[in-house]
Amino acid sequence: MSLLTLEDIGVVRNGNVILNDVSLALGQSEIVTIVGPNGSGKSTLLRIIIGALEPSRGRITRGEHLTIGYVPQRLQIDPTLPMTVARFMALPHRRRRGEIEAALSSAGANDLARQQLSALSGGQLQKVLLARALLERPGLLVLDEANQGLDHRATAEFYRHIDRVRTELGCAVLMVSHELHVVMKASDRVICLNGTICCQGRPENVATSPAWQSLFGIEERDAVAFYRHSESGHAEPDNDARETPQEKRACHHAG
Amino acid sequence: MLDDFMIRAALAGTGVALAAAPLGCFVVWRRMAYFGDATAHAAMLGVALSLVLSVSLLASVLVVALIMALVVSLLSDRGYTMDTLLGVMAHAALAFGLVAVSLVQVARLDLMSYLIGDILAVGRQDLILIWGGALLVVLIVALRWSGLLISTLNPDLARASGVDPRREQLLLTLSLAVVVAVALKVVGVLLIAAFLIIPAAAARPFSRTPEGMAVLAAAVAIVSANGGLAIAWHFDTPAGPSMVSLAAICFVLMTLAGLVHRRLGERHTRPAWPERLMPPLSTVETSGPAMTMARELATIFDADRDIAIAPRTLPADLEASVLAQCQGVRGWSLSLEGPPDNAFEHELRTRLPVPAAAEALVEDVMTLARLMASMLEVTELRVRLRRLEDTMCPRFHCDNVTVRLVTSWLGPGSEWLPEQALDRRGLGAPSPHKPEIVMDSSAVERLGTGDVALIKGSGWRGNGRGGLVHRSPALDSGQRRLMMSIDPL
Repeated sequence: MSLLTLEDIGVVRNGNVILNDVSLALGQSEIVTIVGPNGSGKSTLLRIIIGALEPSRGRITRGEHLTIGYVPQRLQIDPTLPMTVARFMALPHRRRRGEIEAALSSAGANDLARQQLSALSGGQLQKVLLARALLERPGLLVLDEANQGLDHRATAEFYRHIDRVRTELGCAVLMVSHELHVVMKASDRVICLNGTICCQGRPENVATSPAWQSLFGIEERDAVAFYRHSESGHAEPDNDARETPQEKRACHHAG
Repeated sequence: MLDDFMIRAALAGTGVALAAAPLGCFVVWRRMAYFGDATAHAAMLGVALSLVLSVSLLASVLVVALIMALVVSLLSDRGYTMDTLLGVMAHAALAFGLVAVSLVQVARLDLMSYLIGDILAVGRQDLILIWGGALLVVLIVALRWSGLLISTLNPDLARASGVDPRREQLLLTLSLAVVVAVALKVVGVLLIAAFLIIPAAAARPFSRTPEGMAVLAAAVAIVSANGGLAIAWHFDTPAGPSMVSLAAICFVLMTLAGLVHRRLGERHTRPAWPERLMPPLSTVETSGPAMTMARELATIFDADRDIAIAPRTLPADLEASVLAQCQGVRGWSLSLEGPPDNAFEHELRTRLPVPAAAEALVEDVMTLARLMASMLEVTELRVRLRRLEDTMCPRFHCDNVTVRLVTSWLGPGSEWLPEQALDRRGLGAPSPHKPEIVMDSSAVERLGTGDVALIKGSGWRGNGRGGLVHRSPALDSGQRRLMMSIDPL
């Protein structure tokens, strides 16, 4: 039984096709990462999934009683709006103080409850946003470039936390990221998006490099993948002819 | 008692204040100040219509204000620039309203009473309408409080929590129209927006939560309404403007008090410099050691200092990463310019000799670059990394920059001369006529491996001495050095 199914989703805005023919299903407690270059429609896809945007075409089916916890890419807080972390955690649903404290401390942010939201650093805000999303006991946790503004170590810690959360809550996780090497280690499935789904599958299948297991191998892939994506929809042959057939095979067979 | 017009006026003012304050908070938080203005100005058209069609003033103002609000929010969704749109519509509506009112000159119509209100003429009927409208608005805002707040904070976050931000926006728009309609008689078309915004703005410095701000804003509004009325009574001034003036005085006093309060708080709890940098630094997870480093480096801003040093020992992963980049037999160098963002980081990683093992080094470079950018409040930097085998600049010199960050991850650090051990006349191109630069060779100091230093160059503002005198350390044969310099651009 899938939590969420997208069928043939298309989004057209001002005559520009943002997404075309996107179909995917999310299973229980699956960690799925969407990767793709800038402007590939990653954030648009997330906004459709959380219900902030109606697709121009296609159908979206959410499982009954599916609650979604959403961690946005960033949170602009108007300086005129006073808001403590504790108050923010209880929006829009009232929460008991103990519940809030527990959620904050499991995110490693227990000393922040009385702080103003606008005074937090990028990393602290990220922890708070995640803690708030988890308070909703989500069946699906959606993260939009949640590691932005975190340094390498903080990012690694962040993904370890996500993995713990998945185990504890049994929720599915859908995230968007730029950083292939970190993300791939932490995902069950990687979806390569560039207007449409180019390829998807287990990370090791998507990344064909034999050196996949080593972090560095993935980084080389990283560069290749971005290079290829910047060309129009994977159609152009790669300069390195040796790589091309392998890559194609991976895209078609994986997942 | 209600026959007393002053009591009726006080009740009317209090009612409007109660409704306007919490709504005004949302107007401020959502940056809708001008939107409130436009809706209020449109009310003048409503006045004209009620005269022409001889329908109830309240109903016609309500309808026009509502239509105005809806049109504006509809058009703004379609990509029109909001401030232009409002600028056109607000004043057009006011102008058309004024023209229309002049055309239907009903016996002794007092235009001023609509522009600045006529609270002293509030009747029993008006009072019921004002309180009815005010309670309706307070009820709407109170019931939908959480939904309104989360929609204000972030519409996508609201969506994901099952709150429809468009519905919340519509409720606010509706409430705004109601407040405008009921406040027309109290403060008038020109000052309604002020009555919405000023109490909320006054409450901001003393509020920690949105609820606190709404309650405090209501208090300010009620005090201003009744105080303004008293002023109007004693000094025979117009009531509406007196109320708004009092609210404005409250705003100034409370903002000043807030500033003083914060200053005092800062002096007690905050050490002087680095914490004030926290906002620009906040994109980096600033750990304890980084904070200490920032504090050490901040001493460069002392006028009598040419160098600020933050000593450190390199962690093992960074050392390993550095060694990996220095494996090859030949030296290398790379130079990058731009803001220290993700693209910068990506390019740095790809241009290092061994990108596979670059992570810890890249992270260190980026941390230092961001620190430099935020300390000097510049966006663009030039970062140069050099792996050297030969001594690069053996002669003592000053850099032709304002300030430079240097660090060596491998090999000895830069050598520098304290002011008392040098003769600046010897600087520059070597010449037999110049005196020796070094007066006391035992005084030469050296940075440790890993130490991060900020050194002033000859371009430092207000520096009388011309920067720190330093040189590259001599390298033994086979000794390698990996160093970096970061200059602001």
